[in-house]
Amino acid sequence: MALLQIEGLKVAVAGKEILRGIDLELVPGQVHAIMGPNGSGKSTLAYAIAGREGYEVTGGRALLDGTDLLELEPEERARAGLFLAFQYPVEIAGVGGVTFLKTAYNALRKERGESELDAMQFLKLVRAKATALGVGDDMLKRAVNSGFSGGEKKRFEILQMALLEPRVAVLDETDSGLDIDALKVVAGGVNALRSPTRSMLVITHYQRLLDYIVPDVIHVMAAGRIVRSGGKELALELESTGYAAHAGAPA
Amino acid sequence: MKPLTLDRFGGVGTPASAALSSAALRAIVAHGLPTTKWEGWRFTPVERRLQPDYRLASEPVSSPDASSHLGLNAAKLVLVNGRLRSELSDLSGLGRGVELRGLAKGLPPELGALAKVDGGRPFVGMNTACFTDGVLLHVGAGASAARVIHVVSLAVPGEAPTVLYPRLSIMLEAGARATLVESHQGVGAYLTAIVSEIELGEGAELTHLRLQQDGADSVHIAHTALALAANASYAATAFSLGQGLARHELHARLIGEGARFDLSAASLGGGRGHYDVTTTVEHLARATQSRQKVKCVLAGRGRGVYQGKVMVARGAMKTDAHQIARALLLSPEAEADLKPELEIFADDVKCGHGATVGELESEPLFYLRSRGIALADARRLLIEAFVGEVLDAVPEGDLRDAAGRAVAASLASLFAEVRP
Repeated sequence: MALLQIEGLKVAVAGKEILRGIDLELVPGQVHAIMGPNGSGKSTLAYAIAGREGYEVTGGRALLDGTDLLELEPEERARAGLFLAFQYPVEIAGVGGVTFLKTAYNALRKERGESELDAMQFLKLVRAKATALGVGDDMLKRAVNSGFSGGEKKRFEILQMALLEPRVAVLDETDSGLDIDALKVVAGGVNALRSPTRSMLVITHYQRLLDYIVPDVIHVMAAGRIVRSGGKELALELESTGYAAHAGAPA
Repeated sequence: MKPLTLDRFGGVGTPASAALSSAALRAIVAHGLPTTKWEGWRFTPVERRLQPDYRLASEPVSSPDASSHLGLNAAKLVLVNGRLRSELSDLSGLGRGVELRGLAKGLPPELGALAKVDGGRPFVGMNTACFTDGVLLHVGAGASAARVIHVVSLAVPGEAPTVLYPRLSIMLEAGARATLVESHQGVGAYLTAIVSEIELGEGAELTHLRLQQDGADSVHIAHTALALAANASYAATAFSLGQGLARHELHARLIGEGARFDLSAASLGGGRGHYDVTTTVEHLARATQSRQKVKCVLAGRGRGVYQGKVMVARGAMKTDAHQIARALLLSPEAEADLKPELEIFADDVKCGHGATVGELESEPLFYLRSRGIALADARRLLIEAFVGEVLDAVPEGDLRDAAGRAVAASLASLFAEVRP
């Protein structure tokens, strides 16, 4: 059975239809990539699944292990096992990194009927995960994403993912704003989280990221539809031909 | 205009001097109470919140409970219904050069020199004509108060609505230092019209924490007048957390070169709470500095007001003045009126101001919720962060803990009112 199943998903933003019927099926352990030109609807798909305000679902379903995500509040989707790594992580002045992570982590434990971790236990856990991603204590002490560089923001996203251990992760343009060294660190973090029980949907404009996070399946999105699907060799083909060859894609 | 007599406000007390008293009386009688047509009172309709009749409390009927002490290890002066209660006070351990006592024992000659009585300030006039007691703090040149000084003002209910006229007279001579905590609590219908005069000599430093937690039927009008000599520093954090109407008016004159005025204020409340912070900062000398940060979190039909006027006099070069006011509205009926103002008559100055009013932003809320944090918790985190900036300005330790507890209690009742 598919871990993430999207059927005929249609989404409108400000009354304008952006997604015009998306079908996707990720079985446990699979990593799928969605590629496509700017404006094709990739980020809309990510936000609609996560439940962002203003993304109006006009048709279809999105099931996580059989539960329809679209009927849940954003926090309920997260607790059902969904994680969205933001393209532009939001700066939250005044909310300390550790406080934020601990609140999220304990909300999840509560959902599972587990006891909450106290400050010391939690700090120990988060430090272990942070070290592997090169996230130091100084970054954890700062307000969430405030004054972080592009690379720091993305590493902090992956740290959240490592901590919350989602069943389905959607990574929205995780490579944007990263130089090659930062990209390697972030991709390494993502790869470490690949597991036979977890699925990932990697959204990217560029083939570059897929050199480091090698997907099982690649989909090409254009004008709100998936116009082509194939194996990882599709990325290389797109690299040479570009998106223009695909129906509905702007030149 | 309705003629105003002091009979409504407790009658004449044992005023400073006959001359002051009659000047105050003349001013009040001539001008009456402020209306929203008065400059400076546009956003604060005080008249409708006042009781038809107030009485000066006779002898206090009951003793306050210990919670008013805020858990501070401090020298304490407790005023109950405006009168010093020495048996509840503790003036020990302040060290050499520090005089702390009740005003009833004798008035300083400079009383009334800073908080001028005129027609635009009826509550200053009422206090000046009617006050019966208060606090005198004098720190001699180079001396430091060895303990925090806590002035507690409590209103305990009497048979009729009570009026309190606390008076604070504070002077720090050159190089002197002190930390002052001022807290206001009470039960029932009462009016507090407090006047504070604060004079800081050259290089003197006063840290001032103010916690206003008056009850729903209270009206609290505070007038603080400050004069700062060269390199003197006044650093205040003020929390308006009451449930009635509170107006905190500050008038600071930065007279000497390098004087510095710092105010971080937070107003939190719902219901029919009304919170007015009105300031005038006059930069009268070179290289003077002022910083004002005012935050309002309003639920229910709460209303927040900030009127901040910064004036830079001719010749006050290198003045550095900044004011920022931000209000967070948690209900459709809540309202904020923020009005920072600049009047500059000097060249080569650095002045800035800003004001924003809004709801919680949707992007941070969604980000937090996308991590599994419930909407109510996400809102709480963001609101605490918003107020946290003011709490961070309170000196670390006892004082910040006490302010933190007061803010947490206030936020808890505010959240109970806001059901998302």
